[in-house]
Amino acid sequence: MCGICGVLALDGPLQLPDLTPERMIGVLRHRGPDEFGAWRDERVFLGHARLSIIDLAAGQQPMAGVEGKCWITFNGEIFNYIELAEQLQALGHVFTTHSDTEVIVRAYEQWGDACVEHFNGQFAFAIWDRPRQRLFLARDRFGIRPLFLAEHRGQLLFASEMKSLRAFPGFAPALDTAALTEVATFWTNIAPATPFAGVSQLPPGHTAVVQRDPGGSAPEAPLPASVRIRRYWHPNFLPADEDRRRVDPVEAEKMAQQVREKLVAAATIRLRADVPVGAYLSGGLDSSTTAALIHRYTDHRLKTFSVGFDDPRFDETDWQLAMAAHIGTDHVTVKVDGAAIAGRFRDVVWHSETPILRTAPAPLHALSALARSEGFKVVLTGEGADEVFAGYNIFREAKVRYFWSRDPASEARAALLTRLYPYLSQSPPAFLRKFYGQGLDRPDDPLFSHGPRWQNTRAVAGLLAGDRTGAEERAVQRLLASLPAEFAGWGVVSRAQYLEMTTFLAGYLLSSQGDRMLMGNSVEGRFPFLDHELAELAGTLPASVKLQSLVEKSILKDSVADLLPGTILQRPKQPYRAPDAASFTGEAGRTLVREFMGEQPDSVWHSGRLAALLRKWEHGRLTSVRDNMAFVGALSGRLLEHDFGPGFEARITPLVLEPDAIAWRGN
Amino acid sequence: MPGAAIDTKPTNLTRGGQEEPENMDVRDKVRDYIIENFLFGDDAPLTSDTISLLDDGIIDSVGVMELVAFLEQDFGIGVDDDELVPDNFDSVANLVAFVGRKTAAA
Repeated sequence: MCGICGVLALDGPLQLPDLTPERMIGVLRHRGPDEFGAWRDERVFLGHARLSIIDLAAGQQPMAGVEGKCWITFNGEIFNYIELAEQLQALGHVFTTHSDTEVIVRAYEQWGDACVEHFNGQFAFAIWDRPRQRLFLARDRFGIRPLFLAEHRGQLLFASEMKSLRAFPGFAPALDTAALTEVATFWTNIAPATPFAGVSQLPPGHTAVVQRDPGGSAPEAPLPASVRIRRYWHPNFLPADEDRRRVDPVEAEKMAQQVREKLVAAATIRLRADVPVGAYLSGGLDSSTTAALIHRYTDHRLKTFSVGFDDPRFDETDWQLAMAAHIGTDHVTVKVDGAAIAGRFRDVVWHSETPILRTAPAPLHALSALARSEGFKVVLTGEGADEVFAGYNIFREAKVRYFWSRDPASEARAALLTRLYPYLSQSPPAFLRKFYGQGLDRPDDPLFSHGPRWQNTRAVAGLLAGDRTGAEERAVQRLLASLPAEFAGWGVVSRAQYLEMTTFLAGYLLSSQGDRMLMGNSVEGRFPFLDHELAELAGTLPASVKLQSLVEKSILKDSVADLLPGTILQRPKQPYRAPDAASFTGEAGRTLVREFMGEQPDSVWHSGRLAALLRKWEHGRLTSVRDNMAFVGALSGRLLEHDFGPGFEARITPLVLEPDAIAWRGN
Repeated sequence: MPGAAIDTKPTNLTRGGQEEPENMDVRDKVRDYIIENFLFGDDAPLTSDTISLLDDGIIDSVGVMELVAFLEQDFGIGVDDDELVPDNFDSVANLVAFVGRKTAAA
């Protein structure tokens, strides 16, 4: 739930130019259309846009702690707030609401910065600690909820979305070529970077303290010099020798039982809300599991939501209907085609706030609109299962390439790749061996698993106009420096899981394709598979039970086999995809392309190269994945450049709040 | 979810568009095609005639098929499956030599 924002004066009194609260909160209104609140003192402004989900009557924000010493603005959910409230009451804390917001403040008063370690949830919040004159910021373990930071003229700005920072009068960050080079390689920035110069994000699993004299050494750019960050959690795995251990059927059965128990707990605690909770149903294993768990373990009359495509290559309607029928849900579908993707693409980029290399977020924006129109503010999804239980092809690919690396001349080992990607059998074998053989001589390189993917994406960076020298290398160094000490001791699949969780999951799936598409229509997503206790359990299971031979998520399948029809359980994994460049061949798409892909002075995107890309598109020759990524990446990049640049004021004018729309608290 | 997979879905292999002057030699024609078609006009990554197009990320395996279509259309040569190897296709120099051998044999 909700959107948050704020300003901290680092030196001297708080400076809030006219309409700052109305602008910063107003542009977040999609995240929280129900109420707008604010609070300020001589140094700090806190803002809040509320999507009311828990304690509808009394959960208003910003909220004060004991005697008004601490003030909080909070986005998200602390699912174990009931248990924590009991624990804190036993320690002498008195509660005046039944909201999870108050639990955070009390937990901070009790445990200080370590409060986050007690939370099971998805959260980003800021607490202004007046006696200590310090701002405490925190973000959940996997980065489900966003939190962006910038320093501008002696003040620290923070917000759930970058558009709220941009709305601070006079702050106009530009797209950064080096940061865009990262996106054009890794699909996402490597935290704490963002696409904009001078704007950073608090990395997942971190807290930050901001104060006048922070002490210690300043963090590396792009984090502001006034910020001190600390990691409180990261995904963990077994050391390689234990990870390789074979598990007998009796032990495997016991493990499946443990997974089941944690999964049930993770799903049911995520149904806590004072409004109805629905579920997304993609037709795959993970969302089917989530829906089936709700059905089995609650008396919830479940409503499910699906995306269908008119193009049968992308459509999974038959599976969705089969699953909905199996558990008897009230099921609704939104049908999406290329025109629908093109028609909402500009809004999709406005919400994602980064170039995106595929259109896949757009149908999910249509899906959250459907859920909202049916009266739902909260949905559960299957996101995270593929990372936690090793479902993606990139894990199987890493395992095969690692096996192959021990005998690089073996054609039989290389041929295993065609088992992962059957369509590769049409490609010239010599080139396949060369492509997937990249890095085979360095199987212990920390980034071994992701080399081929990044190599395939990298071409997109060629569309940038500026100097990209060293940009990718610096991002790689930042990524390597952020790896925990344990990483070196993990096996190849665990390493790949860690990299996938900390780059692609946090930076793309949970943001561009997750939070931003959901909250764009005022819907909150909840993800049982990203319950940290479940992820921690999965991290203690040997790789062999997750990726058994080349069978993905095997322990998960064992643990939920009784809940799902055999057709869902046994179906081959279908990656979620949507039509990319082909979506823009209709009238709405062509209009968008004509308006934004042409010659633009001072663009970070190279007009001449975009013209060459467009020529290829015009002739219907954008056939490879790589060309499609280039097209969608450049179009979204140009939209971002315009709507966060010269087009920003026009875009936000209707969003700016009337002064009397904001409820000022305290004082 | 993106795999690192190479996309080899059916491609439209006709090459439409620009006309080249007839006297352009093979090397320039090959280079220009690669720069226009795979690099969208950015010649910086193509630092020499001998760098590996695949290792340097200039083409992927779909790119190889596009190169085949280009050679067939613009040079009128046929390419057999067993000729689809890096020795023939993985650099400008290899491509030029391959075209030379094929046209000499024709």
